[in-house]
Amino acid sequence: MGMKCGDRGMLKILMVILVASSIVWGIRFMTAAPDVMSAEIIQDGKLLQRVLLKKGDQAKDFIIEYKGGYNRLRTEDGRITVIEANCPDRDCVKRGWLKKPGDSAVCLPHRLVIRLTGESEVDGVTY
Amino acid sequence: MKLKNIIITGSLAAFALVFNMFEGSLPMPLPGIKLGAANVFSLLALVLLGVKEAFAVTLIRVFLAWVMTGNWFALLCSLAGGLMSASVMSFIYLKFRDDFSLPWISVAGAWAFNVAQISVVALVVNDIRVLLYIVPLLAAGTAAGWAVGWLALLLCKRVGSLTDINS
Repeated sequence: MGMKCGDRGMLKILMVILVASSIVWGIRFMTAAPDVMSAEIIQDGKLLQRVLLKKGDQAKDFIIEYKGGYNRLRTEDGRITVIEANCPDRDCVKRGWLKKPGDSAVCLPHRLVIRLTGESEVDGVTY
Repeated sequence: MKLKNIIITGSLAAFALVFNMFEGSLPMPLPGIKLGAANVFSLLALVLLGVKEAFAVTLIRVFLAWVMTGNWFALLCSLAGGLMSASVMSFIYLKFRDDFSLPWISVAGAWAFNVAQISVVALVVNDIRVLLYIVPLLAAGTAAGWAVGWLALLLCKRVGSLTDINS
């Protein structure tokens, strides 16, 4: 099956996307997660809390509520996950542990975003 | 629309719904990533019948999947994604049919789907940085889109004769 000229054009676009993303992915893969990070808990576009994550920390749960719904978050050993939620799709739970800066999980029904950043300073809002 | 076209459109939508529901029960490595096998039937409708029928198959499938799952957010994503993807595929198929083969038209549809899908997510959670998730979506979407288009091409060759018969 020969490729047509439009196919080849799309393949070129694809190559650019693949090269760019594999460089980004490679860098992320090679760099170890820092010992101290923070997780931004963002609801409806607003930063609710910034949670400090340290290697070796004990497991700790807390709940983020949204109009009768909730997401139970767990931090443990420098990582964070949604351990349980009552949203219809549970995509946030399936996302699993967030371990490196840039990792994020989204709960669409509860308009919740959890994102890891390399920052190790927590100012003002803690839990 | 001829009666026969209506019947074929309905059958394709039914097939699409079954594949859509089955796919929903498969585990996926990352949220928002799926094979999109239902798109095989939108592509079939586009090639065998036309643009109107391709949109009909897509919309009927998306609506019925919502009725069966009741998930508003999945509806929003697949409605935006499905409309965007059907528009892009129809446009390429109508205007540039000679320059693109079906698997790559399907890839273009998958990219359009991914862009619409992640835009809806960014709008709902009101956070623009979510758009970065487009990268893994596009990577998976390309592979899935190509496979789906290849499958559609194969099916077109097998069942294409059904619509050629004048009746």
